[in-house]
Amino acid sequence: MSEAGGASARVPLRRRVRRHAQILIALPLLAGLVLVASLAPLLMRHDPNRLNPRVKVQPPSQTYVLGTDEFGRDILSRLAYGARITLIVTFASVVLAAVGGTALGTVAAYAGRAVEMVIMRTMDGMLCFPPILLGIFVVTFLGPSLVNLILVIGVLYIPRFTRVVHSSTLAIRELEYVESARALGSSALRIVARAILPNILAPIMVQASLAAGHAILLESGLSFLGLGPPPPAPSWGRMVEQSGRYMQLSILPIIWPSAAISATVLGFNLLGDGLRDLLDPRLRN
Amino acid sequence: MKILSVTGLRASGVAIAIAMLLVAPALCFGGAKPGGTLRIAMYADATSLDPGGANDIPSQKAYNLVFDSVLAFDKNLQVIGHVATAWKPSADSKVWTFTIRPGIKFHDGSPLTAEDVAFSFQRILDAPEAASQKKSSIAMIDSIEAKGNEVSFKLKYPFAPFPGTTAQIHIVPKQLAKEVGNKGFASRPVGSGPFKFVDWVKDDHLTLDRNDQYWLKRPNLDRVILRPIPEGTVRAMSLMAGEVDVVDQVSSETIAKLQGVKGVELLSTTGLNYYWLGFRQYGPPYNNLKFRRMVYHAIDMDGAIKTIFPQGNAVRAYGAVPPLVWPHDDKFLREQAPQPDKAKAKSLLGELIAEGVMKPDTKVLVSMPNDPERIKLGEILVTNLKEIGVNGELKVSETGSYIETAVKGTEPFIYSLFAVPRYLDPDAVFSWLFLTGPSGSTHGAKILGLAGVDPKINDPIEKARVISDQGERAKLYVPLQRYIMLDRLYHIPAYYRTIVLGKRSAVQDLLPAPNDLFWLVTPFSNVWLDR
Amino acid sequence: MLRYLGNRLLYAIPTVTCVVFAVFLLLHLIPGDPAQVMLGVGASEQDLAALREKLGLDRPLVVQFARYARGVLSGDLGDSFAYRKEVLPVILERLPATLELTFAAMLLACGIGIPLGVEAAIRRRSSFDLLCRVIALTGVSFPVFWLAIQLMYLFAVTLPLLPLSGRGGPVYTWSGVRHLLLPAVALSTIMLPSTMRLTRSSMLEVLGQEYVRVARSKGLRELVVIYKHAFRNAILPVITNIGLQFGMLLGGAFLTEHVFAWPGIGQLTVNAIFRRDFPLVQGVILVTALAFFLVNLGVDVSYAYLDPRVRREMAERA
Repeated sequence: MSEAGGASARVPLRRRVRRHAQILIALPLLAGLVLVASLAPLLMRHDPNRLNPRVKVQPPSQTYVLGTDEFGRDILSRLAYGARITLIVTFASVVLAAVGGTALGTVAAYAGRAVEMVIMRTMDGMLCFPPILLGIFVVTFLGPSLVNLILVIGVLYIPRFTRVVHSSTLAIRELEYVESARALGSSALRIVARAILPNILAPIMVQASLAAGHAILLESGLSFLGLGPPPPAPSWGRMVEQSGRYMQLSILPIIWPSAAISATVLGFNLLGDGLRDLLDPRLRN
Repeated sequence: MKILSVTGLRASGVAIAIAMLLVAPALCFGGAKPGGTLRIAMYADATSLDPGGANDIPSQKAYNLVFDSVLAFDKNLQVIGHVATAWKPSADSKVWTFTIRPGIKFHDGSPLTAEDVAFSFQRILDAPEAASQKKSSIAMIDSIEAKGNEVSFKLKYPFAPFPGTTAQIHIVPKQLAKEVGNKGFASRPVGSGPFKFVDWVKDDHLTLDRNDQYWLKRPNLDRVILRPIPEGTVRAMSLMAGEVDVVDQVSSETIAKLQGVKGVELLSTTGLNYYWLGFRQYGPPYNNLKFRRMVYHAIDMDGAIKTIFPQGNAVRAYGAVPPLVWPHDDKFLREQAPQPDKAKAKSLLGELIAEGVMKPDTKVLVSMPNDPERIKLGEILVTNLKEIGVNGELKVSETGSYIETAVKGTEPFIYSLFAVPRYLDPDAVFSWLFLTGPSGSTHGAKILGLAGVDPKINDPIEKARVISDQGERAKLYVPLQRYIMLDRLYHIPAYYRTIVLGKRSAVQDLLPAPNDLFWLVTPFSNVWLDR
Repeated sequence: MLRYLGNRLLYAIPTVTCVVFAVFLLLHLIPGDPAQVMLGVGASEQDLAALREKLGLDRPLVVQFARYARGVLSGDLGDSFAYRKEVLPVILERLPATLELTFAAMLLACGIGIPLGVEAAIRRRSSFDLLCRVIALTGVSFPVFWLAIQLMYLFAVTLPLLPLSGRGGPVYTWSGVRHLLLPAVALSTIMLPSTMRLTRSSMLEVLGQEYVRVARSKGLRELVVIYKHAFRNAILPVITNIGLQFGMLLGGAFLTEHVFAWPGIGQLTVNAIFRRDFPLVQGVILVTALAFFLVNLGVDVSYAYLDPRVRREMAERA
């Protein structure tokens, strides 16, 4: 810890920028996204849901900066409002999956064989479940809504987090400083919090960033089946799905939400990588 | 000098005769070249080729090429003889006797007899084995008897439109079907139609070969391959690239793209389908006539259709009877229907609130199935409702759940379904959609929630079934439709979708069928390839 | 080792049973009556009831599941409601197509992803590294649907090199390969980024380890160090991930199959759910769950083969 801190004082700026390139790119990107999402009503001139068939599928212009969709709705406004949906869904579902998965994973690593077996086998069972099926089930049963979508994606990713946390915890558990902490009498919970969690943050970060990307794409896929947040909600996934149908007429309406999705997934991935590089003590060389 | 000797004349006569004999076939065919493989891309694969079992439209399109129906339609959708050459009712219209054409052979060589015809109907009626959707449309049959080359159907009640219902029943070989059972028959279907089953790799391709012994005429095509391509854009691209020769279900967006392409042509015809917005009247305010009128005034249906079908591939509907079926009362229905009028809608809303039927924030639920076009319609309706100050909400469900919620339960909402008349008779429309009362139709009694018997609906329907004179029947149906559409406002008719097919220029003599089937070999056409 | 295998297989059975039961329950809980779907909107109440009785849908859930389980144990997975045929042949018909697509996509993803990941790890923080990762990330960010259509447009319409859709036959035919190419490329873009990133991060971890430094200090050539020592260990978590992905893809890549009209299990399953074809959905889940477990087992075994520590631990735990 101290070594790195001492070293950075002497490292030239360019190298420091290089080292943290990912975070430096990701943070402004994601921050900008959050800003646009939260300030959408103030920033956007048009109502994202207002139908205006007379101006449908217009190219970008002064009035409609990114053009209009097949209903004549302003694409930029829909993107901005849609950012809220994307961010909420991604954030909430990843947090749900990470918290649930971490809890289950550490329990599985520390509890007895029987508990571990039950947990891990349940996770296996969940993993072999095709995501689309679970999505269809939940949405059919509970109805298409934002909360249900978060539920679906969150629950789908719990097994992955559980597995990663479980194996990482197992590996670290054997390490010396954990043994010594135990010898010194720290409770299991303290050991987990102090020694284990910081060390498994790295794989969790990787999983989280992967999950974030997948979550957005899964939402897109479910919208394709008509199961995403119900219209006229401007979810990016639904925008891609709808504009895909008239790609022959104009390619732009599908490019904008696709680019937005790409940028967001990219941001999350870079953030995850950057954080991991920053936090993982073993990678500091 | 003899210029025209007798032998000379005779010789030239023979020469002319020979020349005519050579030219005649070409004149007969009108240039049609036999041979070739027609590749068709469908929007979904068939699930079964058993005409008595398969219920979905892609299956119908496929088995329609392998089997023959008792009667058929000409290109103006008039009922004509097919497997049956003549049909006549008894004096009370309760017994119908059909004469079966001699000389028809199934693909395995066995002859098609009256026994096979009777059997084909019986197996559908023998629920639940067949589990066929067609049962409800021939449910009026009490018993069937085959004698010689005649089949008699004894009906439960007099039913003038009966012949039309037989046009959707296809003939299967009795002996073979009984031998191999339903499962076996579905795997190796044997019919008497223009094409024989060759092989089927599910979700990949279905191959049919020409039936050289086809009784109607010799099909021009050697072979037909049906390929399911679920994604519309990909279907269109396949047509453009020449990978397939015919595509169905051309969507509004791809119409524009295909119109400019060299070598590709679009065929369209009015459809036999009817799409509507209906009110499940299980509670207020949906069971209130003023409320329904308010919604009718609020929605701009013409504008909606222009938005959803920018290529004009749907026709605004004002009644439940599709344009190709009689009686035609469009003018009156159009003029008398509530016009889009936001002010009027707002004032009606005010009245409803004042009368306590609904509150200003009462949620009006618009429930749509997972169909992109109707989702758009739902979005537009909700927007229109919001514009007049009604708290409209859209709910989209996938088909299985949608049918469940639409048919069962007592939850009121605005829904949308579509219907295709089972037989081309107004009775198919009205009895299917509107019969009220405990023994009423699913659409009428259960979906619209018309549980009590409404004699104004039921009486004309039952009366018209018994009469055979079309003019007299029309006199009953016209006021009935006006009553339902204009007085009671149970439906807000939306549109009739136009059937659009795409084809390569080489495909000749293909007519688009209003019932969305593939008309490859019919009494009035025989598709051939010009390449 | 054998005991370990035996144990794992033993545990697979109750897990698979639970999964199938979960699906069974879910299917019966969601709204939608198979009889209504089959007979259509106009069917009479009597006919619906009669069909439900014939299909056994009127019995209590436990009884229905017991019947089903009994059937499965004797090899009978029931009859598909939609296809009116036995379920197992319906599924097996589509298995070759699904396997082909999955294998081809994985081959592409690994063939490109792993070398790129290794290189990116070696040249860490270089522009190559960043470029690689940006490319990979943008690849996964684009909706498969859009990507697929673009591929089709480019290679099948503009330059008529490849067929647009469908399966042209078994993979060992020329037509089969031509038809497989585009869908495999489209599908591989889903797996390629995660494979590459995992390889990269795994390599980075390994390269930072003691024994790599030791090997280097011994004077071994860099190439040997990387491939003989580092790579072999770094590849292990990648293999696990690949196994996971493969198992999941066996469930069918619905979107890719839908767009390319590929006759695989993905489309089959989704359509079956929409049609409320209970036996078919249950059958597919049963088959894919079993396949998933077998694949995972295979992965773990090869893991054990490659890493002696794991072998030891397996022996301890068994």
